[in-house]
Amino acid sequence: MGLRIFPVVGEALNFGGRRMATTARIAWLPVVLVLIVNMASVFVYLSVILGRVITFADARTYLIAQNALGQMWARGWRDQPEAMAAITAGNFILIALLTASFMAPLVRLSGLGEKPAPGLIRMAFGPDQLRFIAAGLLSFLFVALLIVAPILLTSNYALNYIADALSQTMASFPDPDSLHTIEFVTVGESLAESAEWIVNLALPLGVIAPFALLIWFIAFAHFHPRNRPYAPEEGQPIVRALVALIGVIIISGGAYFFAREGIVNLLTVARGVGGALLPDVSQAPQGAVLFMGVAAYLLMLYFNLRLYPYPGVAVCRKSMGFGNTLRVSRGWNIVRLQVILLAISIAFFVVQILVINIGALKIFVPWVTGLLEEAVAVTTRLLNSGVTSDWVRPLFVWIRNGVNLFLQIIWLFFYFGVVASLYGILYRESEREEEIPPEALEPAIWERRT
Amino acid sequence: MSERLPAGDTLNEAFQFGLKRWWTVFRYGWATVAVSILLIAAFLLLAVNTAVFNEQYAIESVEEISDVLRFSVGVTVVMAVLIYLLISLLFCGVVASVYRLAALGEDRPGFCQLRLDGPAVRVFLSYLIITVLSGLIWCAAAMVSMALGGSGPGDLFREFKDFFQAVMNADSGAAWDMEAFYAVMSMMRSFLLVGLIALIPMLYVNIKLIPFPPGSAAENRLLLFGSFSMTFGHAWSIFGIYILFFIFVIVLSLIFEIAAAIVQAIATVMATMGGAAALGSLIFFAILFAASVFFNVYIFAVQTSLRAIVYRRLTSGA
Repeated sequence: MGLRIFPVVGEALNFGGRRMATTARIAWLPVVLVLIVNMASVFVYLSVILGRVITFADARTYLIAQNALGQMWARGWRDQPEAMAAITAGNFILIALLTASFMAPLVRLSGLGEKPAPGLIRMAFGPDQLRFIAAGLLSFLFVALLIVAPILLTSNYALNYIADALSQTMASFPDPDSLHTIEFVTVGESLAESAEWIVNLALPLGVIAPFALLIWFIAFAHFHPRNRPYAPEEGQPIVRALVALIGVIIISGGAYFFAREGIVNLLTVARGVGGALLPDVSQAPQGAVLFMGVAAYLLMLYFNLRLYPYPGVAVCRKSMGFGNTLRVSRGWNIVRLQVILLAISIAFFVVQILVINIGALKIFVPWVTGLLEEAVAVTTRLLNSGVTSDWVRPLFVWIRNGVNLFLQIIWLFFYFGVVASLYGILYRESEREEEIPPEALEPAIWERRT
Repeated sequence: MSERLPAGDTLNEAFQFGLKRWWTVFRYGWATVAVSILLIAAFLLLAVNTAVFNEQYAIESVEEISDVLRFSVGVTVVMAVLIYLLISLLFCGVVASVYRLAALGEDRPGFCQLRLDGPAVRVFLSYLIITVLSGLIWCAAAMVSMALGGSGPGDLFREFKDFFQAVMNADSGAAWDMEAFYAVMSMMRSFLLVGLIALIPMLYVNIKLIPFPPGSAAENRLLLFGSFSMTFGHAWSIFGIYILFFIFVIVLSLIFEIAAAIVQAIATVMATMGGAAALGSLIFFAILFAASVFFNVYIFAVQTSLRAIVYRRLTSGA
């Protein structure tokens, strides 16, 4: 069963646009509350950091408060980590509850065609919403605890051991004929001079070898003939093992070449936030850090993709069982699913950044409202003997801000509609019957050889 | 979405066409590309006085464009336009062959093909009409934008003249004339406004005329008004097809660029190592070139067949 890339992406985007009225009806209240929670949390953070209640009386606008929080963010985590963590967790829980209240009915609408309950004011919370949150949380915890945490812990010990070993001092005799030339150098310095490859290649590969083998085994097992509907039943294990090995090397090589700087930065930042659980990369050989990052990234990507349809499956089946979740991404479908997610991300980028933020909010809206403001100002000057009325400027500031807010909310409706639809479609894909083999289908007109 | 034209299935077919009929499309087009390169090279050798470029420092003594031309500017421009039209016509022949293959299943045999028959001419004319219509829309949008902004076409050219003068002054070591720079930036903003004003009419025309060139190639007659009536009730599907096509071309380009960058990085590292490794790097560069040809022909095949598939589905429903 092949995941059909174009129909899935097309239907998801189509749902986001054409079902916007339904999305708006059931999501407007939670979305407004999410915006309020986000806004309020900025003031709560500031109040905790400064030790007194901060309101609009202190920070005249939300933007000023947001900028102030940006400047004090690190200080808050340094001085009061517990309070900051509590606010972050509370914020996360509230937003999860509010988002689930409209995502669950939208997923069921997309997956089963079940129309959400009528009414303009909707903020339901029931088993469907709970399943949506629980499934999302389970997927996250599965990847975080069973995949990422072991890698990070193992790497932590291994890298610390390497760093310790390399920092041991030893006696060196630059002139072997004279004991008077004794120098005390670290093992790392000595190896860097004599056998650089041990530090930069052998040790990193040694650390990451078990995970590299795991990735290879997963790739080998994932493309087993039974996961590929039209593959020959027997299969060729040796060829599959070789191709899987080449594929893993190419993907790892690509990540090594292109994500080198990003991975080191990410792990350094993660170390700053996550503390001692995460490996200290500053003293470790850079190669080890990169290999470790690549392995963790590939495994995380793989299991994220495998579990991606789970919230949709759980909501539509009204069960926390996995159902056919794994069937959606089996065999080559995992690549197709990645392409689908990439395509939808690009669509989001184009709509949000290029169309809304730049096209509409930076160019079109200021231009149109500017022209209208000028026209209104000129009219009031004509009526007021050459003096522009005081209300013109504030009115258009309000209009501009109102349009900005309106467009952002419309964008959110579209965004949530597309994501919910994708979950629903993937549920349907998981339940779809095996299709007719390609050779049994009538070929297209351009396929018939004359 | 219309049932006759599901966006996902239509695109799926176009991308499959690109893959399964890659060799056929390459066969249709390689001779045209070769002839085009020869024509351009011949034009350059004939019209441009290459001796000017051979003499050391002579290029600095060139003050007028006519100094590097063998003929007068007018004759050279006419020659260039004729060559351009001939090359366009030849490419329209390739496009016509792909259209007829995807829409009618007609596969022209032969490894070397140059097509200048009725379908090719009609495809050429259909694209000419679409270009003229687009030009009219752009002109109308520019007039609306300038009327709203209170400027005229002359202002634009004047600002550009000042801008280029400022660039030349900066090249010769003088300080930047920021006033000219800001003036041109302001005019660029009005260009963006022209784009915004023209967006909806351009979309409308491109959606309504999507089956125009393939229909003209398949039926061997210009199908201008027919394509307007043919697309009635299917506009949103066609709009969805355009959006999805745009997204997937970006996705494919991203994947290709990443893969090409990896191969190029390996080849560059091998080239710096010298000896047998340097020789091996040539293989990687050859792979890169072949992959680039494959990718470009593939995208061309998908893009071209898409219109023909839309036409076929709209007319026959299959």
